Amino acid sequence: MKNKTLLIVIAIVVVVGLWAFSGYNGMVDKQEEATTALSNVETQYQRRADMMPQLAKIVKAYAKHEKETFEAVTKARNAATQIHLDADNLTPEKMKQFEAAQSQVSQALSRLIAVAEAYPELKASENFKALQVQEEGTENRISEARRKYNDAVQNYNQTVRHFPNSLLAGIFGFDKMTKFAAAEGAEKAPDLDI
Amino acid sequence: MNKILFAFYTFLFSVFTLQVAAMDWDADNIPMVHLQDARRYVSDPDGIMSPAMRDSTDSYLRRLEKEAGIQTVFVIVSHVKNGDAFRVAEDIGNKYGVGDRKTRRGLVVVVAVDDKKYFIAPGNGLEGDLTDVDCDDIAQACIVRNMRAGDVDEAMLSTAKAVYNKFKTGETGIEGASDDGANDVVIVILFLVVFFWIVWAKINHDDDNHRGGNNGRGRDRFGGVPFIFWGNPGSTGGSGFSGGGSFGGGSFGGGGSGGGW
Repeated sequence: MKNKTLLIVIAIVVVVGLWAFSGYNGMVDKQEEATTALSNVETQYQRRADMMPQLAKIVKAYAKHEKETFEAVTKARNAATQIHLDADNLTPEKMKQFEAAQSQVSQALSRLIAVAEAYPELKASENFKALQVQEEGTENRISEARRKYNDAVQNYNQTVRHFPNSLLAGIFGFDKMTKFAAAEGAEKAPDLDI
Repeated sequence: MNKILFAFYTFLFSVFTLQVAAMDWDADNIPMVHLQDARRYVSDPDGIMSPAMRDSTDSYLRRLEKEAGIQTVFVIVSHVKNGDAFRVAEDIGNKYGVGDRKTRRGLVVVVAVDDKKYFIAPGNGLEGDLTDVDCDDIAQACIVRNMRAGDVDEAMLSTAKAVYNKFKTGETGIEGASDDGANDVVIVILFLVVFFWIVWAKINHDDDNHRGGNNGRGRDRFGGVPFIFWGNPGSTGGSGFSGGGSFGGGSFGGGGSGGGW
């Protein structure tokens, strides 16, 4: 009788152990997917930031007097490149701060592109056109990377919040992750159709 | 009574045709013809292209996969969901995994005729070789120019040709695509070869019929070379049906170029 009880206890411990093992690994995999997606988002934003000096240089060659616009571009770019998203310390406030900075970049970029309207030679320049196409592609990549990050976070959050995974998540510290909100202007690509 | 029936059938027909006409295609409902037939890459569920030009486009895309390892899906439809060709192209690429998982060299082109929208989406591994600017150049010269002229067939075919040329020669060749003298020579030679091949096959076919008791693999009249060596079209017979293809697990990250006309 005693042996039987012992066997049952061992069986329960083994089953719970296997469940904890697979549950833990599953949450780790999903968290990794989400953090990889987050780093891809940052890469795409960085790509946009890297393109800005090139674009500004071309615009400057045709429109030297737009000093205010160039200053705004430099300021927005510098501010945005100083904020990094740390997957281990991703708070909603930090996300908002990041998005606000990127929104400033989008607006500065829109102003820079709009300058071309007043300068037909700039508008017709092959280099400017090529950069415009690249910029449009970068905005698409940013939007796609954000979407993939949000999907990955949703998948992860659902896993850690569902019972009984939520018990494991609580024990091992798998916290809910923050999605990108559809903040005003932050997700919107600048209008480059000039 | 007949009038009522006629009116009823007319109503049903109208509802049906309106539904078909208003079909908004997206990655979930666009048929992937390549999965049914490995030789086909152009999905044209609304039947917008002419069958001959669709076959020609398929032929270039087949060569592109065989010779350059780039798997493609070309979609030509009337409408796409929300008029968003970008979304449809990305979703098709990621849902079906167009391109190889390792190299991720897939390509999806979506053209929505009534929405007047297009998008050329290279897979993640193709973005370095087919840049956004390359995609835009191809789109402007092939899709935008031909769609403005109302020539859907040429829009799709020239896009396939330009992409194929880009990976075979390094140049899209779009500047002189319409009056390329070398292409004309090749076409004339091909035409002559096919013409004489058919004539020769016909002569042999008649000859076979006259031979009667022969084993069907007789010698031809041009030096006694067996038919099989020459690839006598009269002997091959079958429809050449190919099994379904597959996609390799590629991924798409938003690169490429799109717009309207």
